[in-house]
Amino acid sequence: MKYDAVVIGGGRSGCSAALELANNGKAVCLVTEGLTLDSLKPEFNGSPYKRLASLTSAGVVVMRGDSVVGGHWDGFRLVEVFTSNGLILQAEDFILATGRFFSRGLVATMDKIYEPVFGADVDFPSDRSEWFDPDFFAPQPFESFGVKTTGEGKIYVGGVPAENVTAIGTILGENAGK
Amino acid sequence: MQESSTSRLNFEACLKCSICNTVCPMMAVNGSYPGPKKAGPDQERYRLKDPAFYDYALKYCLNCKRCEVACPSGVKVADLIQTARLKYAPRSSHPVRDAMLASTDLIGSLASPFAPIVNGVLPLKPVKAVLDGAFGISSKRTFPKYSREKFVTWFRKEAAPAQEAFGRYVSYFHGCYGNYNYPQLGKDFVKVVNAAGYGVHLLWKERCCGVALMANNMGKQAARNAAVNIGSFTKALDKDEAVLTSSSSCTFTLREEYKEVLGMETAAYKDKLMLACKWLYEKIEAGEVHLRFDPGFRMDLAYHSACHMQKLGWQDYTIRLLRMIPGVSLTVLDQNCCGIAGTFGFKKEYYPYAQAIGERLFEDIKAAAPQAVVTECETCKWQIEMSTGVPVMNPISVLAAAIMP
Repeated sequence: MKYDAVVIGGGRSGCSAALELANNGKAVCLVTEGLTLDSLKPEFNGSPYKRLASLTSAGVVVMRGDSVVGGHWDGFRLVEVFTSNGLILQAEDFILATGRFFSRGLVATMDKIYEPVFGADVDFPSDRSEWFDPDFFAPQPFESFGVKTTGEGKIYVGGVPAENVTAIGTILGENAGK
Repeated sequence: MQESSTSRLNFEACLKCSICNTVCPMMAVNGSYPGPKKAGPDQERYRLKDPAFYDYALKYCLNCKRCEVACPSGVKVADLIQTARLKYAPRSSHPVRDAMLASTDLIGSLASPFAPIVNGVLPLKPVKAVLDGAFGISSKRTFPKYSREKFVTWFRKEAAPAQEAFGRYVSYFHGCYGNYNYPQLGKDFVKVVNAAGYGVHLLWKERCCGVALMANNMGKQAARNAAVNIGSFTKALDKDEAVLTSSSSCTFTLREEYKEVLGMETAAYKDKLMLACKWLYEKIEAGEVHLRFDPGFRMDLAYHSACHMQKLGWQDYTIRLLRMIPGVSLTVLDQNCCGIAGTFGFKKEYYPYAQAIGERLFEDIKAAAPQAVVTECETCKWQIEMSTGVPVMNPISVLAAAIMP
């Protein structure tokens, strides 16, 4: 299915981006794993439902209970993404807003930290002991790790910037705002 | 070191956020149901320790899968409940009724030759009273009609020879409803697929997908059916492009439940088994298929996405396809459950819950006042037609009516 933009991840950043794009007349599809559309509990003033309602009334197609599992590239341009429900979503622009470790936007193993959807390059020190501070209450270095981006926020894959994939939100780590 | 922190159906990933409870249609109307969070991941810990912890209230689960669609952590909440029921549920209070409702294949083939009699007798008050009193089938429920001629009989007689000319084919999983109750759906399917330039094959052997068997704790029979169906899919895909379906619940069962609940291998056919609407839309978008619609066709429709359709995540294909028809004006209804949940709403003790759950949807439909409601699910159709009086069509039947003759 063709859209102007596909937003991957239904947290705060993903929802804001989808709403902004839709309000500017774009055909937008938002793929989100759960209904939460937020990492908050539903008890918090019903915000997930309000957010879902405002997205759908703005014309955003929300694919709930689904997740992007990979994409098809033409050179450095992402053409389409595949979801676990078997959808193929084509778009001019893709927005990666899958969050950090908690929402599995970044995955840490014993020896590496990676971005599971596109394998985007992630900034992190190779020495694992630098990932964390043994003092539990100290600021933890891993909190600042994120995907590497160009000045325009485009992700790198294998050291090369992607033409049409922009990372937003906490997945940027300390790269946010740079 | 442990390779993964994930167990079967991922129950440790539950954060206790309770979002599943907020979307559970049963919990909203029935205080005796503990809700998906407790019934699924929470109680699974206890059940693993001792099956005596099995909670009888799990019988209230509709298996609508809304909890799974809502879960941000990928917990297979409803699968946990469904597998627990198959494993630990005590014998039903109405075993004969449950077997009758669940064995759609058997009952269909018994009823179909006597369709005019069965259809005439079932709605009679004394018959309904007996079914209610002796078997526990609600007397308030309207029964689906049976067809005298099965879809497969019609197909072999009327349609099969013409299929030879196409050269490219899809197989059709018609489902029990399409075969025994409403063969017109299958006829519409053949019309639409032929108009798309493809021939239709029947499967080598088709059994009931088993959704009703699983819901009635007849897991062994469901697994036997699954084995036959999987064999037929593999055989069909040797020569046909895809196996197409018209029912959302069959599709969901064949693609998801066979693996998650019955533990069978689905990888060989999963990507090629889909609802006809998804297949058609993808073909049209790729420019491989062109459908010509009758410019004089007019219809005011409302689309209801069945719970299993939402779990499949394919509503947008149907919506886009229907919007391609020039004369269709389409309202998309809010995604509320109709309440029937297959055989659940037929049972006397659950009937009031089914109707209470559906109330919101019925009100929305009455407010939209369409000529027909469109949905992929046959049991939603029975429920909506009975409760609102508005006719319900499968999207395939809408397409069949709208394409150029």
